[in-house]
Formats: sequence, structure tokens, C-alpha cells
Amino acid sequence: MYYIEKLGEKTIKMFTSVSEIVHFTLLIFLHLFNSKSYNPAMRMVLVKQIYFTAIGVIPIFITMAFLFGSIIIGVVIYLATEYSLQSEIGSIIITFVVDEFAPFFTTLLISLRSGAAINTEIAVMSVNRELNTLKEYKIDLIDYLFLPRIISGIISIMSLSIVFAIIMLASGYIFTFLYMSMDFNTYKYLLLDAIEVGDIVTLVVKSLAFGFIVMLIPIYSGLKTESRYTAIPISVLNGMVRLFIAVFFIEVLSLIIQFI
Amino acid sequence: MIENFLQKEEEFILISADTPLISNLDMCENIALIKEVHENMSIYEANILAVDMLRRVDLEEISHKYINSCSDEEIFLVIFLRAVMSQEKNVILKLPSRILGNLFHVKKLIEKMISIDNSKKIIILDLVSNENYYEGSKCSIEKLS
Repeated sequence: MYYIEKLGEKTIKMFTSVSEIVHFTLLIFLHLFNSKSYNPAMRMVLVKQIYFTAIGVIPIFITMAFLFGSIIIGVVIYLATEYSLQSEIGSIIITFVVDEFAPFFTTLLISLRSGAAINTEIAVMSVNRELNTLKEYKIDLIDYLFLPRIISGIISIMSLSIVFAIIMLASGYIFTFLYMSMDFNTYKYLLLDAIEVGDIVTLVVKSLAFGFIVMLIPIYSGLKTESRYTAIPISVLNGMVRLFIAVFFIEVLSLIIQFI
Repeated sequence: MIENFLQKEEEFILISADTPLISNLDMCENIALIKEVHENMSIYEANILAVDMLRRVDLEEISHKYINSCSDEEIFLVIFLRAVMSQEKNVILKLPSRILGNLFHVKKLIEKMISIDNSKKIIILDLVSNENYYEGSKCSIEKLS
């Protein structure tokens, strides 16, 4: 009986949490398309957030994209030649890089860097009663705090995914040159022939979904922090676990949609 | 008693330990924020206004400092200036000792608050046991029954 009660309690808790997130998402969408949300303070926060999320990370991001991306693309090209798939190498690279790896890797990096930071920031503001201050001064939390972070997440993940894909495709040339002695023009036309509108749409849609979720879940988790400092690490921990589940869920869902 | 008083009052902005400054904004940004949000004032104009307000209480030098670099008195005055920026008619200060830590310099702070030219009515709600700290200051003392 005890276990059934516990199971029921956990199920109710999970459904409540999901319905709250859905409600929160709808509220965000309402504010996203309301021009009144975009006051000067909000725009300032948006600019700062884009700087912290997308610009500040560029040096390490490019280095990681080049080092990590080159090795991965090298392995893919090596395996493709091993299994005599040279004729399909263009579509393999495009599918792997543009559809899958670039948005997923960018999302992981931004989740670890900015997702955790935003979860902590909102949790600290909640514990310090700073959110109460904003409510007292009738400053809309969604407009001032959440919307700029979510928009910056979408812009950052989309732009960094494109940068990551470009770097990976460029480093792919080095490997095709070394393994297959392919000249640059052949490699360029190989990719141009392989890329389809669907690949670009996949990259954009996935980046949109990832960008939204990478900011939404840490914000929601930070808001749910109990009023004590020891609750902050627990909030970040829960937020990051929820975020990773959501990211993997979107990734699996996109794979199912693409390959049905 | 304080809560009953607050329920009766209308159009006021409350200053208390429950409405601290925003820690990721500097002092100037904390003051400017209200005008930017409620009056769509540009960042530049709002910051100029905020620095001017700080200058009136001789705190211009803390414009770009964050909360951890400021004293309790400086934080108190910035919280007050932020309240002055709001469109509400009254400013109610609830238990200032909880923001200041003590009331030793409260008379000096009241003088600074009065020196800021504004049309708002300022009400300080404090305990009877703290009455002696306010005696001789430029404000009238009333006891709530």
C-alpha cells in the first residue's frame, strides 16, 4: 500500500510539474508576441544575455568546434571510406553535421555554460527576495527576466550551431584531402549537391526548440527554489537533470520524425 | 498593526527588507530600471536621471558599484531613490532598521530624504521602542492605535 501511495504521489507530482511547465511556456509565448514586452530595460537585458551566451563563448567554442569537430568528422570520413561509401560521403557529412551534431553539441555546451548559470541566477534572486522587489515595483518578471534570456538562448544556439556546422564542414575538407586526395572544388560541389532545404529546416527547427528549452527549464527550476540558500544547489541539480532529459527527448523525437 | 495600516493605504510603494536592490544591477541601473520599464525612458536618459538623483544625496561615486561594495546607509538611500522613481504617490518605509542594521544615523538619512525634491508623501513605520531615534528629526511622529 505504501509503495502504491508513493507511486501515485510521484505521478501526480510529475504531471503537475509538466502542466506547470506547459502553462509557463504558453505565458512566455503570449509575451513573446506582445510588442509591449520590449521596453528599453528588457532590450538591454537581451543585448547583455546575447553577449554572455553567444559572444563570450566564441573563442572556446571555435577551438572546441575545430578540435572536436575535426576528429569526429575524420572518423566519419574514415568509416565511410572503409565501408566503400565514398559516393555517399557528401550526404553522410551533411546529415551528420548539419542535422545532428552541430545543434546537439552546441546545445550541450550552452546548457552546461549558460543553462546552469541562469538557473543559479534566478534561484539566488528568488532566495534573496529580489523577485519580490520586481513584483512590488510592478515589473513583469516574464518581460524583464525570462523573455530576454529565452530569446538570447534561441538566437545563440541557432547562430552557434551554424558556426559549428561551418567549422566542421571546413575541417572535413582537411580529412577528405588527406584520405581521398580530394581537391577543394570537388569537396565543395559534393556538399552543395548533398545539402537539401530539409537539412537547413532541420537545423533551424532543432536550434529553435533547443534554444527555447535550454533557457526555459533552468528559469522554471530557479523559480521553484525554496527560500533558503541550501536549496540553490538542489535547484540547479534538478534543473540540469530536467534539461538533459528534455534535450534528449527533443533529439530522439527529431530522429523519429526524420526517419519515419 | 503595520499590515493593517498597509491594507488601508492606497497608491504607495513599499520599502522594506523584503524589497532589496537587484544584485546583478549597479546602483545607477537599480534606480534607472523603474523609468525604463514604466515610462519607456531610454537607457541613456534614465541613467542620467539616476546619476543626478545620486548626486543630490552626495552618492554619485557609487553609481557603478554593486550592492556588495556599498554600505548599509548607501544601500538604504539607493532603495529610497528607486522608490522615488516610481509613479506611486506615497513611499512607505517599513522597519528601516532591518535594512540599515541600526538607527543611529536615521536623522541624517531623513534629512537627505527630505532634500530630494519630490512631491511624494513619505511614511516611516517603525516600532514604538525605536521612537527615541526619530525625536528631533524633521518628521512628525504619530502613534498608530
